[in-house]
Amino acid sequence: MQFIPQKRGKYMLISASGRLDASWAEHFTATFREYIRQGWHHILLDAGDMNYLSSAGIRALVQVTKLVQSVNGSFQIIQANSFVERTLKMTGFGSWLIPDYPDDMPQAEEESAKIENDGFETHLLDGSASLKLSIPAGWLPWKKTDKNSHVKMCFSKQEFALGIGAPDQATTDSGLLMGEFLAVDGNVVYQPPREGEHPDFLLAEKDYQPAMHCIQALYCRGDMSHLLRFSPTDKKLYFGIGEVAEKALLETKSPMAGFVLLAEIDGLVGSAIVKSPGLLQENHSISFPEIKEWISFCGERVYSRQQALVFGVAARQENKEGHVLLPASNMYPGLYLHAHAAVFPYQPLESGIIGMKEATERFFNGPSPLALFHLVEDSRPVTGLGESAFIRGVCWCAPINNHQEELLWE
Amino acid sequence: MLKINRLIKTFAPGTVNEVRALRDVSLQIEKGSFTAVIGTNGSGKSTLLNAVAGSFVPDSGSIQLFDKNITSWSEHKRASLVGRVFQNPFAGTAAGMTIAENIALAMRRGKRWSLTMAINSKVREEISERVKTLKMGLEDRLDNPIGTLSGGQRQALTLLMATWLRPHLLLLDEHTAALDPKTAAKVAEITREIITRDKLTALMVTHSMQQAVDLPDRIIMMHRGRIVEDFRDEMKARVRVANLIEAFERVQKLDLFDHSVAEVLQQQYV
Repeated sequence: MQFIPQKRGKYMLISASGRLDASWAEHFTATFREYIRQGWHHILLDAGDMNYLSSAGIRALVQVTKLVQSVNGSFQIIQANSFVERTLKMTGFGSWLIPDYPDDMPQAEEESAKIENDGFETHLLDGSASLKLSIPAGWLPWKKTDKNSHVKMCFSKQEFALGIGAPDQATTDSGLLMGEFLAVDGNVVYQPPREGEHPDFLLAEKDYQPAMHCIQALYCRGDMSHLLRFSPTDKKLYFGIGEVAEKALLETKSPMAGFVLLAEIDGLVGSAIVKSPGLLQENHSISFPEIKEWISFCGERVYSRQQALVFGVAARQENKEGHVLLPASNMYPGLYLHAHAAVFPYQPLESGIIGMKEATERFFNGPSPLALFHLVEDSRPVTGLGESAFIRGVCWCAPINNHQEELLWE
Repeated sequence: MLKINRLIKTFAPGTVNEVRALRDVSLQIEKGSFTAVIGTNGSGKSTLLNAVAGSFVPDSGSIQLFDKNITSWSEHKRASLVGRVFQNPFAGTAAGMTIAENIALAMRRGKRWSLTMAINSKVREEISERVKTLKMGLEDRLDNPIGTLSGGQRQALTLLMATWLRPHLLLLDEHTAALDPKTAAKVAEITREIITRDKLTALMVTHSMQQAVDLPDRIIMMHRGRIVEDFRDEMKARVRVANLIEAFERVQKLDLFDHSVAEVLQQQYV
């Protein structure tokens, strides 16, 4: 089969020629999936030169339809020949066929507009919304922990957190199981502290509230005020986590902001605890090579083309006093950022203004997360991996209205 | 059953070619278990197998087989206890001799030789019966020189010969690596059948992740002369090819974790 794509306004018009049968079905689905991934959610198939359609081909069309429906898009077929038209009508899929091009579709392919902006689109959700940050537990590497340093936290809607903790179970056990976690709108993804362990997750369902015993937690409660969307432009192919954080600070006009990011990954750079800090026998300055036993490092940019769910807290401060639990960025002078990212298998996101609850729950209710990282900026000269970056995505953010002194946990 | 204790072997020590092939390897294999050894190139897996087979004397450490310390035993002395199949299908058989003659040799492995007829009708019948179990039609070609057979057929026969006397320990050194995928799958299947049927204890080096998942009941992963993963019991039951590939990626990542990464994490990890 051959495919000739044309961009027509919001529509991707694809002229297909050849036989859509079992031999080509997979290639057909993969090709269309790629256009949907690029943000084309309204697909029009020009079947003028498509001379055969088998049941395997219909299954491929159903898959494409389901995919565009999941992002409120559309899939339609035009100019089908009599065989294809008859086949579709007899099998109950005649509703895909349309006699004419949609009215809102331009007549000719448009020259792709040179987008000179920064690739971001900002939507104001609620100008009065904000987050309140607290730090109920503030473990720093590599201090010995004990039961008194564990804080039990329950998470419900409108609550966001990142930190290090163990799932709610016997406190004596939890010391052995301290790993990174993030909580978004009450749902928790947690990375058990062992190489090769898959991340676990706890979902807020009915009366159940996920809980973690934390030794470190940045915890926010409140509503998001802004929605940022970003997608590649002619000049810009990806967006760094620091760039997204700076944009959140700029749009919320605040020195400190919290943000939830759901985005297709260009590459993640991060680390994760592989040995529970609860096993520390004493306050300890851990250096190379011993540190390898305690933390893993990704070693290369990972999980390209999967989807990341990130919760982060960012602050901007020109002086170098720093912030509690917010490491300073080398790549963005004055930016302080702490973010955890859970990686999920890719699913396309709807266009326009989308609700965080609906968007994130699709991932929590879908295939299991693949990994969880504490995002790290690797600015080593030459060999450095840089920062985590994303191709396109959506970011909900809000100003954090706290005074610095309120953040201390003692 | 097989007890390897703190085995160390360095090849060409003190030279530019120095290779620390085994760095303090300890491993215990229970009777009747089938263990796969996987690892990157140069990880020491074949060296471990060779150490058990007696191809060299280790620098330090000991090897015990059935409570006998065999560390200083020569390779041929160990042959009475250990059966072995090599990667090269042409290595385990004598090309100019017939199938029956090759097997007759294997039947007397580790025993004293006499001038009696090597292949009488009873022996021939036994050979035919056992060769039949390979389901390759070779029972009708017992008088053909083994050199006229394909690599897969020779490897299947080598496997049969190595296990003829039900050795205490069977060593398989990438024994399907030189075969085409279909033949490799067939030989792997025969391997599983023989080991299960005869309740053999086996140690298999393989580069095939799928084989490591499908055949044995334990998987050892080696890297740079050390055992870095040991999937056994319930962990082995849940392991899949993707988990093994992840484990490879993890050990390779660890190699990239150097001083400079530690510095980055010390700055960034709070």
